[in-house]
Amino acid sequence: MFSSARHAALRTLPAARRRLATTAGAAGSSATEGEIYSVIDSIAGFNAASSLSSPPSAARHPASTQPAVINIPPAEDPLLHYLTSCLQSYGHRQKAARITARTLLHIHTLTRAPPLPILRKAIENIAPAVRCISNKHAGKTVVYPIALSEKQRTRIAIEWILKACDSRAGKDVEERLAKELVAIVEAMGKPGVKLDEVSAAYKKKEEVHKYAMMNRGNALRSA
Amino acid sequence: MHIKKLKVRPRKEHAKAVCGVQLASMLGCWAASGDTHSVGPCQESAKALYECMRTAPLGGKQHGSTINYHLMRLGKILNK
Repeated sequence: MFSSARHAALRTLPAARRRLATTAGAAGSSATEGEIYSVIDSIAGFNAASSLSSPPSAARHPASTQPAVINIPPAEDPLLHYLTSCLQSYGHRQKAARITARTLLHIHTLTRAPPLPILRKAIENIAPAVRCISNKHAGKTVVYPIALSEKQRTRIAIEWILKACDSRAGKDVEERLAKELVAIVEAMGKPGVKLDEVSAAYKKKEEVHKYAMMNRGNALRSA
Repeated sequence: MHIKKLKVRPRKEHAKAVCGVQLASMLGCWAASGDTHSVGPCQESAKALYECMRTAPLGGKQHGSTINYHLMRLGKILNK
């Protein structure tokens, strides 16, 4: 359902030619869309899949022009898979997948542009860079900021966006979510726009970043 | 002087935070420019931090201090 164009193209080729070297190809074309794709895709076992797909040296024909290690692209965009997982409840995967698909459709309806880059951009805009941890040390509570990994940032961004989209008008989750994502992307970069008023997700990000900035003196401490 | 049991209470060394340098520079940039969304002047320092978090190795578990083992071992020689 969410196969990349590359995967769809691969399926049309005869089976013998399907295993093309895609190390730079699919990974590259998708990676240019955003840093989050390339990392989530490695976390999702993309690299594991590629190492599993490399045939043993004995089985490879000496005259073969195919490279020894072949990267097979994932069947589904990892970010969409993750978004579906976040929307899912009580194991109802199909329902969540329908919501994701319709959200992309609504984004396209609102903007007449490809929806996936808009989704990525919205998540990149909302994702916080740091998280504040508080620790009791010597009788005082010490707050210090720590950097977040890509997956943590994406998870928090999606959580905030899903919470914030409930304040939008629209009968279904997909409509509200699409409106929220489009508003997030449109607001960033516009001069004279107060981001806190555009979305509650931006407001949360501001709060977290301001708190981290206030406690930047403790940044190099740990545990 | 005879110490029956040679032993110390070593201070635990805190694990070093990964990407501390990039984090500190980004936070300093935020304070200087007020660009907490990292879209203007702080965009590059934010990108450096994201790259670092993506590529830096995870900090492994710190080994406990073995000073007391050595003291026990050598204390037998010293106390003779």
